Amino acid sequence: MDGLRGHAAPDEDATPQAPLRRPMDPWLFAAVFALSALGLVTVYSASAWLGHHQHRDWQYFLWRQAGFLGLGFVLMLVTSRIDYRLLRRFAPHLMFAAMAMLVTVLFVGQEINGARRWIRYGSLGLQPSELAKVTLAVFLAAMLARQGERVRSFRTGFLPVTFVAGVTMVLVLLEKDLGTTLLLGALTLVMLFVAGTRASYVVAAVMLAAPVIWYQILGVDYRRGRLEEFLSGDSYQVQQGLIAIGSGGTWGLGLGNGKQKLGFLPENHTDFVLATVGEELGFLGIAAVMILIALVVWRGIAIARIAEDRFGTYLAVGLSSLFGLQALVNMAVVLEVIPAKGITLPFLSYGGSSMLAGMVAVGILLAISRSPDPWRWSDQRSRNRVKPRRGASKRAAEPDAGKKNVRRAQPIGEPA
Amino acid sequence: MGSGTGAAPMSEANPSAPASGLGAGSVLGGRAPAGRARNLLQRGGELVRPMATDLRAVRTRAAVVGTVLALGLLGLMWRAWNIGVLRHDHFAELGHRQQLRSYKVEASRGDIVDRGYIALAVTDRVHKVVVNPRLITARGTTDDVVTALLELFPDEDEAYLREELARDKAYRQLRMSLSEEQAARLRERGLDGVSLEQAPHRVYPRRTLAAHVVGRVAAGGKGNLGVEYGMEEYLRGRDAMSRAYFARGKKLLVEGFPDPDVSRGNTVVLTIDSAIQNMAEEAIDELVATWTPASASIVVLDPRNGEVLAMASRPTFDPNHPVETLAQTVNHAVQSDFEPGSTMKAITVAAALETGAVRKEESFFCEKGKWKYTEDHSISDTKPSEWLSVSEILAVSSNICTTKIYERLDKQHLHEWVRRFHFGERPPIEVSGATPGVLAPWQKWSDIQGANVSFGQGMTASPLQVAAAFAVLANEGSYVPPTLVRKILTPEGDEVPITRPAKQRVVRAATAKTVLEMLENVVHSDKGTGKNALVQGYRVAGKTSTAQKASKQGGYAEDEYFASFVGAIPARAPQVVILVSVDLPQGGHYGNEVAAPTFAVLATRVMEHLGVPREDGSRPAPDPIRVLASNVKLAEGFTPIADIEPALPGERPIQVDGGLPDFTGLTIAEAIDAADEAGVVLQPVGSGIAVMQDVPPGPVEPASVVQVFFEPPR
Repeated sequence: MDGLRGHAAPDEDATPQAPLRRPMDPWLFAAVFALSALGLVTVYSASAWLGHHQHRDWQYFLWRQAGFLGLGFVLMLVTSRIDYRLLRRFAPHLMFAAMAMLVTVLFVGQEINGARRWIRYGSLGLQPSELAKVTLAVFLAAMLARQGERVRSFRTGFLPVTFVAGVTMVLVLLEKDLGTTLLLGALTLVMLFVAGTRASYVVAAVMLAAPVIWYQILGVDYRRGRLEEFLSGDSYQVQQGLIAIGSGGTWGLGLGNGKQKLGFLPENHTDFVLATVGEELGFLGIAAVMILIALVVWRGIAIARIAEDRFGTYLAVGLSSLFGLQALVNMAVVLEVIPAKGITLPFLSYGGSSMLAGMVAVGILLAISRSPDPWRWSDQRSRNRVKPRRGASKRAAEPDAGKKNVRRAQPIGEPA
Repeated sequence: MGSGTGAAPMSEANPSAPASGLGAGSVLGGRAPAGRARNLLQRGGELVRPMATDLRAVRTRAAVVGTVLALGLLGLMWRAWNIGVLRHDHFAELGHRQQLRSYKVEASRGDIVDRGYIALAVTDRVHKVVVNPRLITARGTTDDVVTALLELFPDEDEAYLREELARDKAYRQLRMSLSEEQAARLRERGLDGVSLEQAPHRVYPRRTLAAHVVGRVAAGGKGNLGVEYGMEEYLRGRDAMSRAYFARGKKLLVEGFPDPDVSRGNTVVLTIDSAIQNMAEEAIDELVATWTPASASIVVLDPRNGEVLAMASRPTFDPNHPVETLAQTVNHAVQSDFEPGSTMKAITVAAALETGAVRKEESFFCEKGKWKYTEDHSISDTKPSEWLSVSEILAVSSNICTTKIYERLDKQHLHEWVRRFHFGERPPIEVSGATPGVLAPWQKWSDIQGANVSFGQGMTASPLQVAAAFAVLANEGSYVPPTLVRKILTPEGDEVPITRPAKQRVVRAATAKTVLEMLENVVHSDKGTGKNALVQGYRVAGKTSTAQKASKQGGYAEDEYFASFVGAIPARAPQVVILVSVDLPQGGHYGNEVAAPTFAVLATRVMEHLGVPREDGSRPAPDPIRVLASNVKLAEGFTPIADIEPALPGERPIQVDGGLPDFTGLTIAEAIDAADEAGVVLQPVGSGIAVMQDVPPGPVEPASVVQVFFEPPR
């Protein structure tokens, strides 16, 4: 064994800050860079009139978005240099902090449009639900990695995961943010699915959640209104978004030439930024955005497949599917496929919290992509065996290593 | 946590595999390329159930997730194609319907310029203050607004502002006009409920110059006087519709905005020569100062083409400001009719000569000044005479002998001839309110009225009609309708065709020449009644007139006269006909006494201005006032804006190198500085910004006096 693993020996000494051998994934970085650059231009074009109207400053949103973007890239690069396995160690702490913020916002949050989603400090606002998305992915990845084969069990596998996710979702739902709640639910199910939970649990969870969602939609006036608007095609915002995209045609009206920004299309720089892209850059612009999103997801999945350990795999799947799901939901709303939700388009929409959270998430993906060790099943154990004296801290990072009650692979002929 | 099984030699992947060796193999398999990992399912001939957390299973499921997301994106891309490309026309139409609106582009009124393109009336856009009194009252900021406005308009009445702000209205346009600078300052204040709006504003940059000719516009922007009224259809322009992008109901972007000139009215080029007009204004002012008449008017006409070169009337007004009495706005040269008096004798004589009723060598007995013509009426002459030739009859202006000439014609013929000279019909002049005068049909004439008409009583005519009739004699017997409009230019500079009545032959050229020669005696013979009209260096053919005014009680008032002098100069080839008429002069009443001196002064200056050769062949030195025209004269495709907006103080460098600077655009202080530097003496007239000067820029004699005219910048 030692001989076989000999080539990996230097890594045994690697501290999280040690030089890394594999470069970070260039395609992911390029795709995110392109998306956020396009986003910055589009946000400027879309928000210039609004900025002047509200703040007497044509560039108000541009400079803010540029600031978030700059900060985001710094955070991304810093995160990509940190060993992501630290996240596993601190996953419970992060989850606790995120939940604390979600609770806090319910009390001190600034109320906008009847929802309390923002913790305000001066002109800066923090949206805990944006952070909760990434944190939940981290925590679930850590939890599922620790569970290992137990994931197939209902009591010790499925239930704890859904419990944590459920609590998070309820907290987000209390912010009256159904869109993000559903997103978190979908994220949880995707991660459970990838980790190998029984398909029947996933189906059962969906079926159990359905009546709750149904009630949440029909029992809450504005959501019911949105649904009815959607079904009848009367939603002003969605119609204006379609006009924007339809006006763009194949090639678009040209950057800055969109007219829907002139007070016709609300939120054209945030949730409906895709409509602005469609108006000014046409179908080709939208296609480019979709291809870039697909690139991000693809690279995320690819990173998951080459990740060093199970935690990395799960986390990469979780984060990339988070981007994918969020983009899908956002675009589906704009393209009048599903009823309106308050979901932003990653990297394109104006917004500090979602931008920073997204950039940190990309940083984590990049960190996973550049990880030194190929993924192996017995990573923890090998380390423990070779360097027993450092085992204590490594074990802390691999809490499930060596647990006895892991379900065992069995010959097919024998009953379990 | 992991330490419990730390020593076990089995991999985590298959901790309970029966054979540890195979387990290690599976570890290798797991790390090996995918193609070699198949042995997981079959190990040592034994089928092994793959674990849920098996690497390949996880990878496969991750790929499934990725694929599902990619399929979702693909579906959305199809949807975007459907909306953006397939249904593009539909949505673009919906978009245009809400983004584009048509709105009215208010026509901009055309300019009125003189024959040298000096602007006499232009439309400017000024900023008006618009307030929302309700909002201001609700905010309780009335005092702030009033303070701010008073700061900008120190002269404004505070009570007026407070009254406007106290109204329960959401929109009030205040009366003050703002300059760009004032507007910028007000905008800077950013007062709630106070905004700016642009409004068209008619400006008459030469103020009283030709005020009656140019006229004025009413509050609604429509002309109601002078050429402004008469040429309304050309000046008005057409309101145009334009499409613009709107942002929340506010006009924002203009696409395909019509050239501002599309909706602009045409430019009316007058026949008026501002220099001559200015001379006429000065002459009439002097006349009024001397004789304090009820009214006075001067008409300067080019007999060859009927163009009115100047037309002045008193009392006058400044069209930029409201008038005190409506009487100020009456153009007495056109709108008032008077009994023309002796001037008509020239017409009577011309008619008699033309028909052959009288030969020019004939003499008439003038009854020694008193002739009982009918039972009730006798005709008298101011200067009793016995036998007079036709020429002498005109020179001494004998009523009695004119009556005798008339008797050769009879009522019907005289009426016919008077009509031929276009009395009793409205002249086709392009200003408001032209009077046709009063000329009763000959059947209704009493015997004495026939005689009266022959020497200009018992009928009325406007001074313009008299001048136009006299111009027939000065134009070789042809009548050209008097006109004030030289041409009409579209905003692009193209000429708008206008139909003019053709000139008509009234008398033979020989007859006209004969009468004109006779009329020279009025001024140049010893007996002549119009010797005051003598113009140095030129021969003048003219006729004085001293008409008694009809009294309200019937008959004629004893001491109320209408004095006038009409003359053509130079007599042998007349270039101008000048008519000076004075209604109810005080302290004198003879035409020679009241009107002829003014004619002489004005004619002298006009001859100089036009550079007409004197009898001895010499040419007069050009009158410095010509600068007025040449200085501002612009090319055919002139830009009125450049003309009306004199450069603001400080915008233009003062050019002094070599001689007299161009003062236009300077303030008085700057002009004085510039004059000092150039070593000339400045004689400022008016206040504000310099608009003209009487000596052209360029070489100048040191210490010469330069008159510079200043006008307030709007």
